[in-house]
Amino acid sequence: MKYLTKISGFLAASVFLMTVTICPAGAFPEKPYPPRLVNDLAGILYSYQKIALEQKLSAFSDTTSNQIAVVTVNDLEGYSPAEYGTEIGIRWKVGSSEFDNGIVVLVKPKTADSQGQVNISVGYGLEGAIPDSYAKRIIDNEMIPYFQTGDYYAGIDRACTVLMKLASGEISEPSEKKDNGASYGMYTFLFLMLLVILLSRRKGGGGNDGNGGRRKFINDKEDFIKGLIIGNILSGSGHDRHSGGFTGGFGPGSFGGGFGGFGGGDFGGGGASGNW
Amino acid sequence: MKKGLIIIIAAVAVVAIWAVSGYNGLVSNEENVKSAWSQVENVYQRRLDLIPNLVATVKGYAEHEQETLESVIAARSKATQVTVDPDMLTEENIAAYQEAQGEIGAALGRLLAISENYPDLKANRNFSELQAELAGTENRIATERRKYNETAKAYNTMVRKFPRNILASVFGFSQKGYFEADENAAAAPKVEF
Repeated sequence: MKYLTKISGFLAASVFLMTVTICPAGAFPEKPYPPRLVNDLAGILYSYQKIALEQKLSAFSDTTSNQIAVVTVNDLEGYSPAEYGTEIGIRWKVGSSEFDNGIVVLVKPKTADSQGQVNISVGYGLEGAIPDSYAKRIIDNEMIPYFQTGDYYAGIDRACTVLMKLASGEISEPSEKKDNGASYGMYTFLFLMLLVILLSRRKGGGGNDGNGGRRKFINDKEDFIKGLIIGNILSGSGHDRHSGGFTGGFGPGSFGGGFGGFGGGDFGGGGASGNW
Repeated sequence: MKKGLIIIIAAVAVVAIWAVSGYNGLVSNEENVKSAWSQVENVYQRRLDLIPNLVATVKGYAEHEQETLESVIAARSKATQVTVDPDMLTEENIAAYQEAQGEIGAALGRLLAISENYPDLKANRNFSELQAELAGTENRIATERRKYNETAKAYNTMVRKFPRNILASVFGFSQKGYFEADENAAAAPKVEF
């Protein structure tokens, strides 16, 4: 009898230990209820920023069915950001079950004794539109430069803007260069210069320049125009941000409707992460 | 007499219905395991597909690292030999597959480690994109392996539980193997930036 109680006690203890080691309870945040897309569990965003972001993302979810969930946490519980982000996507079922078109943007803010970590997890259905290298580029160009200055909202918002454009097929590639809000004036100036050069060349009636030189010139021109288009899209995003912020700030009444809930999307581990 | 017959017929019918639904449950669960396996193979294949491009890129900058480059190529060609028949997802087969793929992981880890010594290589756009794809692929591998293990676990529980285990043994549903946690997880390519 004594043995029996001992054995059962041992068994109970080992079962308890096993469940603890196999599934560390509470490592991953619960799916939010009522459902929302912006989950600032680390508390790094102001409430008006959260409202603006939530509105922007839930409108995007309504119109395109692509769901972008933003999650910030203070501790990744020993997981890599990629594992953590993927797991949240799988558990919360971000995206629609039909298209698996969810994205999870995960931010662990930098603290005095730990580095900042960020991850973009892409659902199965969006892996084609947002390959890992694009996700990486968004992290390096849109997020980390702002995170380094402590402006979490700007980084997250800019990343969401590019992700939205990629997911909905509006652009097919994020910008390559670190484009920290290059001014319109600069573009206008360059454009005018190009125009002048073009016109002067036309007047010249195609003088006998070296052919190589000409070819190089044409290539430069193409690159420049590409850059111009991408640049415009990006600076456009800046304006979206402001208007979003204002409507969010002034119109609490427009809260009705809101985000309807996650739709059963699945994740296969695609995406990228980074740290600073 | 007649009553007894009816009881027997009813019992047989109940057993038959149970057997049919049990059998179908086993079949659909086994299909789940197979499709989870094919996802695992897909993501490992994805890593294999990245290698030629990666090797070619590194070669352009780090010619002196022939040995490391060749070990990656060798591990790759070895791993392409090791395939698993989805009808034979035994523990041994999966372990062999995992070992062959693990060698690629280790070789890639060394390749990425030496690439740290070549600043020009690190600055190469193609290389950094390949690195991002590789990091994403590693996470895909981990994800699909976890999903496979979960599916296999659900299936194995079904196969082993009484009374369905009788059906399973009659119709030859055997248990599926699992992926073991990588012993040399430290040697797996750690793609940090």
